[in-house]
Amino acid sequence: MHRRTPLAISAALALLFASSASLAQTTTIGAPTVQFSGGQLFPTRFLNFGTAEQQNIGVSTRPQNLNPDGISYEDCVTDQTLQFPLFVTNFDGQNLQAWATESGDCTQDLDRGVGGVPTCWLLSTGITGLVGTGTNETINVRVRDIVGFQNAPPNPATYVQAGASACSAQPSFTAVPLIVYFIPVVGDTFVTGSTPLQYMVSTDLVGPPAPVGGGSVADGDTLFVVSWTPNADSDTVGYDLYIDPPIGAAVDASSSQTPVLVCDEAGATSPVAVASAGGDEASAIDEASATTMVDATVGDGAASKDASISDAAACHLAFVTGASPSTGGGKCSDQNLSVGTMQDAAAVIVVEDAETVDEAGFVTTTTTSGAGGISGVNPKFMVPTGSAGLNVSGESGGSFTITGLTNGVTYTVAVSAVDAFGNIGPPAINPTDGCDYPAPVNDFFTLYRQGGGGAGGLCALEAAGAPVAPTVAFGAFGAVGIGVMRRRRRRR
Amino acid sequence: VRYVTRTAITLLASTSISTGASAQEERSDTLASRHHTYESPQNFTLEARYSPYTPDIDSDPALHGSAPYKAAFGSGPLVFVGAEFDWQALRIPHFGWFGPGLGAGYASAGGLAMFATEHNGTFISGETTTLQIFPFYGVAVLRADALWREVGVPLVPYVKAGIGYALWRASNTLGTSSFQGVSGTGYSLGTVLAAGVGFNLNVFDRYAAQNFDDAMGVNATYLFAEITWQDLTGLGVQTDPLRVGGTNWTFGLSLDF
Repeated sequence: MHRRTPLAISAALALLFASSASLAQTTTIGAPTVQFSGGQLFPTRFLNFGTAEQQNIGVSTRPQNLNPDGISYEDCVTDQTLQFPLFVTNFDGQNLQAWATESGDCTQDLDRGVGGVPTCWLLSTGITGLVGTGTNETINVRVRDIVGFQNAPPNPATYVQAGASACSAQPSFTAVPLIVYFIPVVGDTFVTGSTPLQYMVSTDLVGPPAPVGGGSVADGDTLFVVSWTPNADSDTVGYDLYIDPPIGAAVDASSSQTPVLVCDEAGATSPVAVASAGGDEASAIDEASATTMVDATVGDGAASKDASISDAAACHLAFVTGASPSTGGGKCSDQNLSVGTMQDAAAVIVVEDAETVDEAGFVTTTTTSGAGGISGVNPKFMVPTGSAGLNVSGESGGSFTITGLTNGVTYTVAVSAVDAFGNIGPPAINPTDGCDYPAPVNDFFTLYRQGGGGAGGLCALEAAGAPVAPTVAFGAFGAVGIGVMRRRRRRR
Repeated sequence: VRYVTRTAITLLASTSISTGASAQEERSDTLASRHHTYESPQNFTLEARYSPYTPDIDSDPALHGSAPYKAAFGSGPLVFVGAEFDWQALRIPHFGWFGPGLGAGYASAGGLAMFATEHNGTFISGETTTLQIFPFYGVAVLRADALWREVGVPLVPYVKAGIGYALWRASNTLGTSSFQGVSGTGYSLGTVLAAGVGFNLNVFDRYAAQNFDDAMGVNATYLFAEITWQDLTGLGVQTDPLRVGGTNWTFGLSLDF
């Protein structure tokens, strides 16, 4: 008994040390913690950072203030990588991994597929054997990896690089919240007692539905007034307009009609065409010889009058070619815009990898996602807005005036809703009303001057702003009235 | 003797003209009506004016019979809103008062402009055309309130005459209209005449009227109807004015205070 005591103590101590050693595999004194570093609130976004060649082609031009924690269709289709700056403490050889889930808890081994069906999917194997007490680390996560497996996480839960098809993984208008976990693990096991980082992201890969009713176009003099019924989708924050041919672009000659300056000389039996709008007399034609006069305007300053025509002559521009506005680049069956009528995330994404060698001799692979969706529409067809990142019309907007058009040129117009993520929905193109051409209009002042009236030309009113005068007058009346009444009351 | 004295005073009062400032003294005179015992001083009139307004633009002989206003805006009247402020500078005993007044208002006509030629089977374009008119005027006002003040009949006839000045602006969807480099803005000068009658609302509730006077200093509240002639054809000094004046009925509410 007396000799057995040291043995028992030794065995107990050995067992204790063994247990301690075993325990050290899953816990540490001062458990690992993970948090954002340097007060940074959002990850930095890069393009193509996660390609096989790891060629970073720059920070994304995506407006960082546009849903900075959100993922849009464009973020996905451009293969963005989110770079998370992390500050880690108390790591003593553990691994730091990135996982994502829609409804699971990635700190639970079971949800990561350890002994069960995974509800989390691995985004990055991260950093292995991390040792550090208060160090800054970065982990890169591809957007496609985040959004690509929300419907079916890989089983077994090994890392799978998502392809372009991930961008079609969410065929619904509503944003889906996901959680990205940065967790310390040993092998497959979460380090108990550690503090992981959870980062909420919301993904929306589908733009709002097209405006109801398709919209309509009313014509004016070098302008369209486009109207549509705002859709009821809660995601919609505004509308973008498209027009083909683009405003100010050179148009196909076959789609335009040459305006000719025509003057009615007093006493003449027929009007005389003087020159084209550009003043080219060589192209002048007699209006009477034209088989069709599509439209005419009066007093268009774009034309110069020949010296042989008296000032008293009434001149106007006449479009005299073509029986009706011909449709060249901008026709109602416009392929440039109709390509976008398919919802982006529902479109088949064609991946084209092209390798180029840059000046430094590095091979760069770029991936072009040619989609059948609205993202396939060339941005040059968008009606420009005053400020980048804004839509031409707000959420409740139902009308917009497109100016700067050319009379007689046929344009196709389309309207798309835009959501808070910047996703653009498919454009509504009304095949009947979406295709039209602006034409000269006689407003009241034109009719008045054309009729012989001589008033006008008071620049001061225009410069001062018309509403100023009555506002000042009424304000003065009100001030005098109130002042007098107050004075009278004091006197009494 | 008392009758003779009273008659003499009446004659003196009827032939004298006193200023508005002395009107209160007169009201305390033995000749003053019993209705005005508690009135505060009365020196001004403020009118809120509403009118179906049809400018005479198409009557311009320079238009040679064409009717651009009717073509652009139709023949329906506009809605004119305005205000007028009068100073009851001179009180005429047993008649009323006389004084200057200033007025300003606003009227606007709008519609869809017409295509120069038929377009897609219609002449109506999607572009707007608008005419805004900002009339101002200064008038002399003669208002006979003796019927109310001395007899108790709540009707106050009046006339006005003076000078009118109206700014106007023609515009379309793109902004101020322009024709061969001439902008669609201008002014028109002319004369203004008006005749009307006010109905004193105090007659319905004298107690409320007195409270209104005590609280706000408003002596009388009127509904009025007036026919207004604005002949803004240039006053002989302006060539080719846009004839934005017209003959219109005006209705409104006025306050004496």
